[in-house]
Amino acid sequence: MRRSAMMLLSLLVAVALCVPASAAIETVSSWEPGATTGPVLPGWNLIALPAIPTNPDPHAVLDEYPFVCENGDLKRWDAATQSLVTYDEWAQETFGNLLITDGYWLVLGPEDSGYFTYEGITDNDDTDMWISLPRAGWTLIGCPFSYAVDFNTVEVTDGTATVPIANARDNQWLDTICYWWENTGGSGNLRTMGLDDDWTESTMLQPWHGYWIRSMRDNLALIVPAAS
Amino acid sequence: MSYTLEVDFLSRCLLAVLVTLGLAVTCSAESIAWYSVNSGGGTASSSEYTLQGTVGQPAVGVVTTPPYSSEPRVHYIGFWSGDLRAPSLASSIDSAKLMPEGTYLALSGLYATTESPGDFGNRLYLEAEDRSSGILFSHGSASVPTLAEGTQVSVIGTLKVLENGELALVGNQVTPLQTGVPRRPLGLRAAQVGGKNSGQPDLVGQRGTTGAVDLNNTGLLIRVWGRISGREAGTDYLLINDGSVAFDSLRIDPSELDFVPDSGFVQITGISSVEYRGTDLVPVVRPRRPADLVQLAAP
Repeated sequence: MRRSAMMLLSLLVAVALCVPASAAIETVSSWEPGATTGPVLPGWNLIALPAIPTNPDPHAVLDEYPFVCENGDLKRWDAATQSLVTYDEWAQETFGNLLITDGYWLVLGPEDSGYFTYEGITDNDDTDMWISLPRAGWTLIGCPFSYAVDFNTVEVTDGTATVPIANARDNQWLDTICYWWENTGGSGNLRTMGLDDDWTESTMLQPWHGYWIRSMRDNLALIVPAAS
Repeated sequence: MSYTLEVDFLSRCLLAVLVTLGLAVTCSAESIAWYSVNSGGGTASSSEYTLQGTVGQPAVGVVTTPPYSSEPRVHYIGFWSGDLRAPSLASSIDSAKLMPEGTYLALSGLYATTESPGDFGNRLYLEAEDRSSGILFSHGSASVPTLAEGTQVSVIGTLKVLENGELALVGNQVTPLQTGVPRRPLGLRAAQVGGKNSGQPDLVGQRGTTGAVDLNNTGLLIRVWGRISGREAGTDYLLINDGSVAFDSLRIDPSELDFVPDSGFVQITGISSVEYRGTDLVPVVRPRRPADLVQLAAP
């Protein structure tokens, strides 16, 4: 009897840990320090935020790495102007804040630990997310959820119709082969992510990762479906 | 006996006429200009009673072919109303928005993202099945059928730019086609609400919000998140920001909310809409009911 009760308690605790928090602000951490596949290692990292930061100021999100902001080692891509924007302490408004659905280049020094924590909300995890591709050319996007998403399930809209991403590729709206950076700690490899029949190295949008995607026309948006 | 024969003779004549008419209708494969079958019913009265009866009266309204049909058709159902003004048929909301203001048009297969009655009084928001675009249907003082969120409808109205800058259909013909499940909102960053010009707004289309760079989403059911930064002077609109709006905050219309917190982080579900502030067209989110505001508290 006592053993059954213990098992039931363990089960309940396990379930409670697995259920995503609703209507709550959480502390979100990147993968554990030292993980070889972790997105934050010495060298160039192509990162994204898996939760909406409650304080999107780069200093707050990356408070473990104050020198990143001071040294110009944080960069974003402005898709509307097709240009790289480097964080500048003296012109912070030009860079703006760290936002969900965008990807960022983060350059860490050899002594940096590869771990950061910020406060965010994951309540968007049950909402299909809309990611803008405003202009023909490259956009640096980020996985908008705290879990991985099958890229084959993404849709694309041009305001007139919404189509599966494979159809958007066939319509030549965009190229479905995306690029991400695998940081191996000082150096790295350019990797591909795409649809099943793109024969890329991955078909999943991974949380914490940024991806380069190229569109062939203006005014598109991706609709990334939530798991629920 | 002669009475029976007379009825029999009349019945045969009537049958011949109907067969001829039926053949004529069948042969004309392209169109039926007007065809009216007037079924039974009417008023019977005596000195003590009045009976108002109806037989086989179907729902009154209009049905159009689904979007993207290569041969759009419109079919009126119900009372004989004489010559009706024929609406232009739009294959999608987006194509409707690209018609000139004043166009009288029909749209079919749209989904209600608001309830009627209940949300927004005389305003009904509709979106395409694939969530590519949405539009406001304003029916003024006319009554429209009771609609649950997710109901598929056909509508007829006149395209008009309202005072707030929103391109809408103004009319009174709404025909429910089938019930459905509530629509899923699209999650946007605060700065993405509204969007660029759709079409050429000086001529046709939905004017974009000032400074926008993203695809226009006016009329769609959306969800945003952000920290409350205050209230807008003059309108008392709630102001929120998720960090994406550089020099301003996103306005939330509190008309349908019964409680608005003064601070904290909130999730807002509502319609992507617009309003003028001076000459600037600014984005506004319109929650539909109190449950569309969720306070996000620290654990």
